[in-house]
Formats: sequence, C-alpha cells, structure tokens
Amino acid sequence: MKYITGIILIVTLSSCELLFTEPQPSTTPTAIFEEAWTFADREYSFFEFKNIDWDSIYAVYQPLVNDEMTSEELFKVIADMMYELKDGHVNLRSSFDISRNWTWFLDYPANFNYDLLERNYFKEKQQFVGSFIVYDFGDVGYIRYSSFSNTISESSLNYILKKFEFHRGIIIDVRDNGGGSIMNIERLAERFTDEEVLVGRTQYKNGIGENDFSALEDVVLSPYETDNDDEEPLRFTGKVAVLTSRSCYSATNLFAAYMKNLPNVTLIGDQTGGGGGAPAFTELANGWILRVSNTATFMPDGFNIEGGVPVDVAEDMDDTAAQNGFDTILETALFLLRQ
Amino acid sequence: MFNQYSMKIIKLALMLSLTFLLLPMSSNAQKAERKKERKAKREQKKENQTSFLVLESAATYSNNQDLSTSNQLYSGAGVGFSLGEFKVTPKSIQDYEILGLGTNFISSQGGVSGYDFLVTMNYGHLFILDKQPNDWQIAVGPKLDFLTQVRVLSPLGNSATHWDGLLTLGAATRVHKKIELPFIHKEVQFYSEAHLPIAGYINRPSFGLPGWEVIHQVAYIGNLFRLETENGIIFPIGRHNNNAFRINYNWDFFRYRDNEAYRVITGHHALGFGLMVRLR
Repeated sequence: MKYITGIILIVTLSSCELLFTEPQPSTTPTAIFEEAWTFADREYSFFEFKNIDWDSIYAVYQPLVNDEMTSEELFKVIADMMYELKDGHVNLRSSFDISRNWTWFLDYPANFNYDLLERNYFKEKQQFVGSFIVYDFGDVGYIRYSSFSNTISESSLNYILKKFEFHRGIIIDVRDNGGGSIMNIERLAERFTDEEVLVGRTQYKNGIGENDFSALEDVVLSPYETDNDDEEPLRFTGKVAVLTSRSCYSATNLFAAYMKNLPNVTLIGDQTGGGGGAPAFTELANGWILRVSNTATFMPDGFNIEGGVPVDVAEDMDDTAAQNGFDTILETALFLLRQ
Repeated sequence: MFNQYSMKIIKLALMLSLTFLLLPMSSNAQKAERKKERKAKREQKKENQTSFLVLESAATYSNNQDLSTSNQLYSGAGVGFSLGEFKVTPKSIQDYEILGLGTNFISSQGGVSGYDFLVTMNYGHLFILDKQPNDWQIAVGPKLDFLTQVRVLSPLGNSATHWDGLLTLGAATRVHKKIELPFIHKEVQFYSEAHLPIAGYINRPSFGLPGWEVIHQVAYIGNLFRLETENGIIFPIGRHNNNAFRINYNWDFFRYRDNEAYRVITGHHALGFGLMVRLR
C-alpha cells in the first residue's frame, strides 16, 4: 500500500503541465528581435519570389539591437527589418504603433476620387443598396464596393442585377478597396459567370524550411445558385468592367485575379497593389503581435499575384480632366462597354 | 383382431406421439426455467449494484501552449460542469461522464487574451481486483474517451482559432479506500484514478494557418500523450440519506508533437463540488 500511496502522491503532485511546457521566451530586446526574425523565417512565403536573403537582413539589423534600448527603439529596428519584405501583409503591432510598408500604393497615382464622382456623376442620384453604391448611367450600370470587409447580401445583389438586367454592361469600381474578407470575393464574383471557371491556384507553408509548401490547389469559381429550385439565379454575363488602382490590395487583389479569368470581364485602370498571401499571426514575448504572409496565390498560368494583377486596359486619371470633372478611368470603361 | 405384433406397433406409436408432444412442453418448461434463472440473476445483480448520478460544478484553471502560433503560455480561470453516472458492483466499476469547461486566458505578459473550451466524454469499465489489504480497493480496465478543446485568440486574426479533437482507447486504474475522519467521526471514501490513453484518432490543425491543413490520423503514445487524473473524497450527506456529495479534483493533460518545431501542451484543472444522487 505504501507503493500505491506513493504513486497517488506522485500523480497528484505532478499534476502540473508547466513541467512539460517550453520555457517562456525572454522579453529582452535581443530575445524579442530573435523571436520576430525566426517567426518570419519559418512562416513567410515570398522569400524566393521577392529574391530576399533573410539571413543577410538578419546580419544587417541584429547588430542594431541591444538590451539597453527602449521599446520604441526596438520597435523601429524590427519595423525597419520587416519593411524589407515589401509586403502590406507584414505588420508589427504594439500599443503605440503599427509597422507597415505602403509603397505598393504610395509610390503610384491614387487614381480614385470619390468626391469627383459624387459632385460630377452621381449628383445625389446614386442609391445605397446594402454595402454597395449604385448608379444607373441609363445603358450601363455602376456598382461601387469600397471594402471587402462590408457584408454582401444576396438580396442586395439580386436587386442590383435585376435593375441592370438589360443594360449593355456593368462597371464594378473597386478602386481604393484595401481588401477584407475573402468570403465576400466569391459572393460577388460568382454573379458574373454561368459556368465553372478555374481562377487560380494556391499553396501554403507547411514546414519551417524556406521552400516547404503544400501542393498547389485549384481555386474554381462556380456560378451563383439559389437554394430554391423554382427561382432563377440572378447573374449578369454581359460586358463587365472592373476598375482597379494600386490601392487594391489583399482580397481586392484576389477579386481582380478571379474576374480577370472571366471572358466577359475587362480590367481597367492601374494594376492592383498586390497582397497574394494570407497572413499568419503570432504574439511575441512582450505582447506585440506580428503577422507575415503565409500562403501564395497564382493565376492559372502560374503568374504570382503577390506583386499585383495587371490590367487589360491601362489608364490613369488625368489631372486636367479631373479638374474639369471627368474621371478618365470611368470614362474609358463607359466607352468600352458602349461599343 | 389385434395380434401381439400390432399391439407392439400401436404401443410404440403411442409412446412416440407422447414423446413428441411432451418434448416441446418440457423444452418450453426448461426455457422458462432458464429465463427465470436469468431474471433472478439480474435482480440479484441489481441488488448488489450501487448506482449514483453525479452532478458537479467546478472552478477551473488552464495552461495552454501551442507552439504553432506562439511561444507564449496562456493561462486563466473559468468554470466547468459535469454530468455522469457511476455504478459499482462487487466485481466492477462502470462510469461515464460528460465534462465541459471554459476559461478566459491571457498570455504570460498580459498581452493577448482569449477563450479556451474543453469538452470530454468518457466511458470506463473497470474490474475490481481481489481483496486488498487494509480495505483498499483497486480496479483496472479500459476507458474510451472523446476530447475536444478549442482555443480562440481573436487578436491573432487568421491564426485565432486552434482545436484538438481526440478519440482514444486506453487504460484506467482506480483505487478506493474508506477512511474515518477524525473529530467528526464520519466515514468517507477516498478515491484516486489515473487514465492513460494508448492510441487514438486525432484531428487538429497542422503547420501554418489553422484550417489550411488538418492532421487527421491515428496516433499513439509518443507523438500523442494524454493523462487524466481524478482525486476526490465522497461524503455521505446524512445518516439516513443514501445520497452523497463529493469534492473532486480533475487534471487533464494533453501533449501532441506535430514536428520538432511545433508542439501543443495543454493542462486543465477542475476543482469540483458535486452531488451524488443514489439511483439504486
């Protein structure tokens, strides 16, 4: 019985999983820097695509770190290091700042001015249908969707497509749309095709090695269907123009990639800003949150959309025309759809 | 008219007819007898069986470390509830239990916080070993167990939700002893159980973003390790009351290794106060 008592005591006293957990990482600046660099090293999906030598970057930035530096100083060093990834999906978040690289749109013309549209085109005659702003040019329909974070309802799209059912074409304006939920991409895109279309391929990191990726998985866009067999699904398969700019990132970038594969769709404006990788997140030992891209998406022909989706018709907003109340990108879309 | 030979034939025919008539009656009688015996045995078994319905609420605490997301240890307190039935016969102990608990946890640096939910369902059939010295009772046997735990850390965006789903078969050992508490002179029952799954099926996210790749495979001790212990005391409520209450401490430990870089280690503690309602 002594043995049984001893076993019971051992079992009871050792009921502490802390004996088996990994030691907590240190919160010194050098430890935090190591943790951040290591997370990116293991999880980031675009080192090869962007020709980035992450070990060399470590060698540049690590000497800048010391355990006497302040949090703000450490943040700046790690932020500058992450800036080298040139990725809008790479952010370090602290209580006092969020690191970012926005060169993918700041280095290019804005190509969108909602105020110009409001004053010179809509003139208060636009409709607000769910998350969409809708305007009827008479023969061409216009749909403005400003963020993929905004809910897309079936009833909104049914109303809009019913309204523009017999129009010559529809313009979908996603300029300045920085992304959001990928669930909303299909909800919108599926309304503009009558058949299944291969729109891309995706893969994700599945190991800590730089080239540890899963096999490519097809992304197929299926046409919209209703739950009710008696109801005809509302789709529009006439001419569609999708207006894009460099501010189109992440989910918007993916939307542009999907739509580019549809035969009735023309992308007009400036190429999208990119952001083809969904980010993975971690919490560093000091409570900061770091995220880095963890997946990669390609067009069916193998083109990596991380750098952006090229347009079919390149057009910038002309400043002089804008001063006279004309959005040249919108005008180009109207012209092409009316042909 | 009937000669001796014919009489013999008739007698034989009569005997055979009677045999065929009486045989089913005898067989039916035997069946009825056997049925009666079985029923009597069952009644006997029920008389020797003690059965309790257990309802318990618990204060809980959990520690979680999922290295596929972060090196941080997330800890926090919460509440839990369990429902089960406990049957004891002279030769066996059967019990089944459903336990659910939730904790609100936070990282060790007080950064990201979230929620942790655990649900387990298990069934054990333990066989009581021959009489042990000093009134100790030891039972061993198999235990089937289902566990689901989900951790949600909303600030971590795409990496917010992780889960572990586990169905295992293992071995359990339970010891009992009745002891008299000094001063109050009440006889209470002390028990301690350890349950060790041997093999099972696991479903959880693999490397990278949860949901992109899911591990679903058979796992054995080695990659998969789970240990559940239960220690408690059962107090009778009153001299003339068949019911009892118990103080129970449950520890549920889980560890899984996906690859050398990524492991998940979780531990859940529940200190419960339960009512045991005697059913039989």
